[in-house]
Amino acid sequence: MQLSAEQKQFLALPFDQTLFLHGLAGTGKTTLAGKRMLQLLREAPDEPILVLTPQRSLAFPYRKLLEQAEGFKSYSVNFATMNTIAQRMVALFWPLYSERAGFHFPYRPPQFLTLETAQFYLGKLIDPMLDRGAFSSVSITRHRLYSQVLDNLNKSAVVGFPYTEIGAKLSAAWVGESSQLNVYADLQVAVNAFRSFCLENNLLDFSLQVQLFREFVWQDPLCRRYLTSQFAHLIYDNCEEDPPYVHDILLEWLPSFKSALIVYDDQAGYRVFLGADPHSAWRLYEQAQHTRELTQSFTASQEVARLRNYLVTPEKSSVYPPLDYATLTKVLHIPEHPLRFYQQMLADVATQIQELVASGTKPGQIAILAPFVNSSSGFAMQQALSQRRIRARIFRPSIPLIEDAVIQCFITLAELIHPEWHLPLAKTQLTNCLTTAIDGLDMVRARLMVDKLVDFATSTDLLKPFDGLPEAMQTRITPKFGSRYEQLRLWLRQVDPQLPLDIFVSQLFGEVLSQPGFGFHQNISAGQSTHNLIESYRKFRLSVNMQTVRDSNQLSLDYVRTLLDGVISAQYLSTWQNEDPDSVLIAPALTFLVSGQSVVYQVWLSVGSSGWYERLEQPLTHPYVLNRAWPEGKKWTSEEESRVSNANLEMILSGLLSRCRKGIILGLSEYNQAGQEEKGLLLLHLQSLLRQALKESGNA
Amino acid sequence: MPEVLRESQARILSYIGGKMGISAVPGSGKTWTLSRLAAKLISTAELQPDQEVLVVTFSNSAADNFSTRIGQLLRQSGVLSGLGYHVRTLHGLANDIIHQRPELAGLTNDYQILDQNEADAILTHTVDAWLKLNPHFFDDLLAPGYISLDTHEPTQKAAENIPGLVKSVGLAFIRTAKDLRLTPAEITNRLRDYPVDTSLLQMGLALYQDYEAALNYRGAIDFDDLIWLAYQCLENDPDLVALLRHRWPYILEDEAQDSSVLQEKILRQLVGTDGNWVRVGDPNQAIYASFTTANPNLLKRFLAEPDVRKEDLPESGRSCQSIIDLANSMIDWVQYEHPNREVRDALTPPYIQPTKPGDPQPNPPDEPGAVEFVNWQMSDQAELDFLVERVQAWLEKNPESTVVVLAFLNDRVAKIADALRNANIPVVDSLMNLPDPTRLSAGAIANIFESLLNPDNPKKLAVTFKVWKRKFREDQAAWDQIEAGARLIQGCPALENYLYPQEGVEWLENLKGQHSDEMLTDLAAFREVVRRWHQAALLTPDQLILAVAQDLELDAVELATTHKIALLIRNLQDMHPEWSLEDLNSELVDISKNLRRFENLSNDAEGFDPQAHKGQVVVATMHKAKGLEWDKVFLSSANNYDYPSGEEGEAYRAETYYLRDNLNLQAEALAQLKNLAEGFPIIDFRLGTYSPDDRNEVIRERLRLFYVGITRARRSLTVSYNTGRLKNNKEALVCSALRNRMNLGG
Repeated sequence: MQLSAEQKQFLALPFDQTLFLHGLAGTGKTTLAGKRMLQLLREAPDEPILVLTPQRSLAFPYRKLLEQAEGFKSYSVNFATMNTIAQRMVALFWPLYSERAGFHFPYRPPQFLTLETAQFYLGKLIDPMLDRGAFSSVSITRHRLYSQVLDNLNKSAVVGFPYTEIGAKLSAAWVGESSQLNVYADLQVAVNAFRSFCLENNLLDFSLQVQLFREFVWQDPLCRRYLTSQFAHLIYDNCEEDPPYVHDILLEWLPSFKSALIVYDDQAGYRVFLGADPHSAWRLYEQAQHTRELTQSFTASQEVARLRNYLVTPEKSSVYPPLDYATLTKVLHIPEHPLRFYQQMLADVATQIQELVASGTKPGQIAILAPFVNSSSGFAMQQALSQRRIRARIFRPSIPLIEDAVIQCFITLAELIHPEWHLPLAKTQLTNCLTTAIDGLDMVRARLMVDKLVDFATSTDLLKPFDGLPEAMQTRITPKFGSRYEQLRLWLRQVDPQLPLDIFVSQLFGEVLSQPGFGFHQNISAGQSTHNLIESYRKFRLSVNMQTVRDSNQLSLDYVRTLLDGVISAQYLSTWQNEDPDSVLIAPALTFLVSGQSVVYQVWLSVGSSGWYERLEQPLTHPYVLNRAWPEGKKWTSEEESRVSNANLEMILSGLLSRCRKGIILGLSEYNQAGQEEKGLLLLHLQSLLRQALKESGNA
Repeated sequence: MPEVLRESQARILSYIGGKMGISAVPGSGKTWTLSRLAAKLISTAELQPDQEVLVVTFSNSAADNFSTRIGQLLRQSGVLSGLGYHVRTLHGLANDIIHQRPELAGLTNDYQILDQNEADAILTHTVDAWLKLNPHFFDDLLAPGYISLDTHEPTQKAAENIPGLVKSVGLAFIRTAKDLRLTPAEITNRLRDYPVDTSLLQMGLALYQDYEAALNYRGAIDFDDLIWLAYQCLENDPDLVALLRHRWPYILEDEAQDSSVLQEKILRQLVGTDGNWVRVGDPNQAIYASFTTANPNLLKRFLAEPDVRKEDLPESGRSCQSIIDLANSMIDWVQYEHPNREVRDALTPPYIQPTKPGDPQPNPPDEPGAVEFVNWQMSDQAELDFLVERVQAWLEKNPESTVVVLAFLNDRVAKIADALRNANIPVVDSLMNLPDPTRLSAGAIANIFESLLNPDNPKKLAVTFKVWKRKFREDQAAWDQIEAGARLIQGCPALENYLYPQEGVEWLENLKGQHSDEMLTDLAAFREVVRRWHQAALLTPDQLILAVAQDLELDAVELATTHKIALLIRNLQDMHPEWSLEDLNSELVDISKNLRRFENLSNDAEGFDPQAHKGQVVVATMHKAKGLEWDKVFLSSANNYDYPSGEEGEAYRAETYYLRDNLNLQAEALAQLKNLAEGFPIIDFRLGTYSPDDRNEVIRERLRLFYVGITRARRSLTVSYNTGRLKNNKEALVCSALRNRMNLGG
């Protein structure tokens, strides 16, 4: 790739200082930082480099570069996020501070909680509160309730204020119905109870990990030296997506590095809901000896860049040449006919994508973006594309693991040998389980089996022997399927119900379900799903403090309940990184932005939606009020709301247009999926742009 | 769509502001003109981004129609559709207004709106309860012969009819009270001052009170409350009025002749004294006053206001000259010659003018005998035979034309439809029972789920087969075949041998030779679909709904509804992860019974298109035919019972035959209520005082209905009548008068 003059100049800077590189997405910052990393490896091959990013996937370009570049000592490059560093350090130095930090069993090892196990424990504390009427005026799912409570704790840790002030901060900013103040009071009770529970049981949720790292480990000169002496150079990309605590640490850490390169995306900071604070990150700018801004976009075509300028900074647009209607509509593809309904929009968009693909665009170079992608909207879009023979992959941040039919099958079979769990077994669930488990078994015969062979009334041996059926029924089900059923039944009868769930699953898979005649025989994706379930259970088991559970049976039940509640999500990191040139990406806009990818064409679905810029409705937490910059006692009014909305829209438009090479296809319908009309800010902006362009072109 | 503007249209499109009233004749393209005007204002009136042209329509389907047209016009001019305009029915608009500040109307944010069915059910219940408490209310009101001399109880005939009568009086009373903004408490208060017998008002009041209590209990309001409460919001909050006036600087109103007092007041508030308001209507087509609170005089008064620019849309390319002449002659006859002077204001000019040469919508050529009034007396049955014969003859001669048979009453339309069908004439009666997409698809999907939940149940699979084929429901011959197929499935002893046969036991194979190849092909195709659905059963329920919908050939509205259902099911599932498919399905069944959650999607069919039924005969009531046109119109049952003129000896439907003195209980109750509202110091509560007054209202509205009927015709019109059940009905006066004026023989 040809380097521009400004890039060459930057690469020539010496390796003994802190550099701060910023610019819009698509101006080649990461490319430049990658070159810098290779330069460092060449010039000082033995000096360890820390590549720090807010999330693992953002280090992907650096990893790829290392893989491709031969002859470098890649082992001296260390990839990390501050959270992984914190966790490692907290684990390593635990005995040094555990007593001071208030843990009840400072000499026992700590238990690191995952998001799921944190929710699991929190549920145990909150459910009794709910029964007593707490949180009664908010109506959200339990799952979201738990995650918002945890969110608050995490904010207190990454922003840096005592968790005991969460309720007070939220209350102080509230201007609406006074009943909400009770909700905040309940929230504080839940937060306090959870923290005490963690201290009593040596449990470390994310917030405690960060807090311990900041307040104990990093403050201890010994520990700090241990950490800082490990790395000579720092490359820190996307610093604007990290919360303030990371910047706090780095401000103190920077002097210890021989050289540092900090990369900052202008007009970004998408992970506000996780505490991202671009304002705080900008403090690093002031510490740098050299700062550089990159301005030339390598991604967006000239027209897209101009569109970006008009949409993002309309008041400055007078400095750009007027955008005429023909140029504008070359980049902005507007629907040919007004469309009334959501699925008409999906069909229209799918047809346009089909045309793009037919004229040579690779499906992988097209991203369909929407404010939200839910289970049905994603599926419907995928369906519309598949009718046009175009493959699509959906990226939703959290898809409940239980939606996987293979996993449902295992769980149903586990329920069958555990009648004492008293989990409800529906006939459809059993029917689906049998059609999944037995190769070739159809729904009609599976249902006959369930009707005739499952005795819901007994508490033991729910499954009855096949040869006890009248001959006519045996013939209907067929001896072939009957014998498979018998194999499965006998296996379930002899298996020890006390086996831990992962062992049960792995034996069931190996000894029965992967055998010829069964559903998972030579079925790779079923194998992958089985693996996911086993992994997920193991993680759960590892992060649950066994002293809080009676036995492995109880643990299995706890896990299954959490799974059935939809709390446990599938991990999608691997599929996300697996870029597929032959399938169109369907993703929420923010998720796409955080991934750091760019594409040739973007489709914006539901242009009229206010979801493009409005903050998520979170009745129990508030990313802006809990932000470091929020003045104490200030009220969150509707003016604030609209200020934030406008700023968000600008940020998202800037990000999307910086990551788009050729054009935007607008998906627009009169009614949304729920049958409501939508006329959001984005739509209004686009309309006035079109009118303006029409006027410029003299057509108005 | 004409590209060249008529002079009258050009004048209207030159509008830039102020108040304008337009009288449009039937077929003059007022929707076209009004949507053009809206699009013009949107693109030239320099609206700010948060401003919209507000278009108010009478029905949901009209709203949809306007939205689509304006959207297309905007898109043609190069901008995005969907912005800069807001199309609403008056009820929809009222709902929008209340949503801004529900607390001003004493409502919470999540108030519910009862649909007509639910409101109806509540009222039925209320009436039953009231009749139990007041068993002797009608004892003094019944006509001789309708009260038993032995028991002093109403005769069976009267007893059967009384609940229906009380209900319709109650409904009219409640609606009118709401239009007059009288609460039950206010009525109670005012009635206290009258020491005389106010029993009829007390009856209305009691029903009103109970009905309101039932609504409050549900946290719900009805359609009439919407209007009243919206007005209340506007009256109580000047800031809200200012906000809305800014948001909607232009208001365009279609079908303005159908506005009620309160609806007009709402629009007046939104317009303000110097606002921009365009009202289009045809006072001659006001045909809803007797069962809504609509008042056609309001538009006439508006047109006469000094600051209102008055325009006409007099040209119409719809009908041939003879039919235009007939309609204009009717206006003249009513205005100058109607023997009952009181009703001479029922119809007013503008007269209909044919379009000028070169107009994109030329009138059809005149044919001899285009207008025919059949003046010989026919019995019920004779008129049916006559219609069958004439329709058949017309269709033979004009197989590519559109035909309708109109009558006043639903019952009569149904009889006509049967008679035509018996003669093997293809009949379209879908105007009479418009399919309801919400119920159809929620119900259809519930049925399919039911079958997926019980995959071994042949009966449920048979129902699913019919759901899959339901598009053929109108085609009797095809439907008979489908019913036969469903019976075959239902009789299948072991479904696995049909759906997943093992070698040697193939159920479908064994049917070969016994049934038509077509049916077997259908059953085989259906098997493929069911297998696909069975595979999809492993998806999440919301995805399953969408997957199933793919195979149902749903139209756009149905698909949209399906999407909404999928979303709803998803939310339920998220809220209740422990629910099985069985649980979710029982919710789906509820949805299919209950429309409330689908307020936003139009329940009307996509708009009936007569052109889609060439060579068939459409049957409809006069009311349902409004806004439509056909080459040939048969206007039947044109007798003096359905179209009275005020002559001696005429009977009036509202004057209940089993009550004494031909009392019109509804007219009495409403007149008393209106007087009470006006605060008249002396109100005559004696029954019988107001009944005769109502006759003139009926006569006027029926004259307009007749006018609507004849102006549906493009090329040819035949008017006939029958002597009715009691063989005492005569030809309607309007028929004989027009026959004479036009020199048409019998």
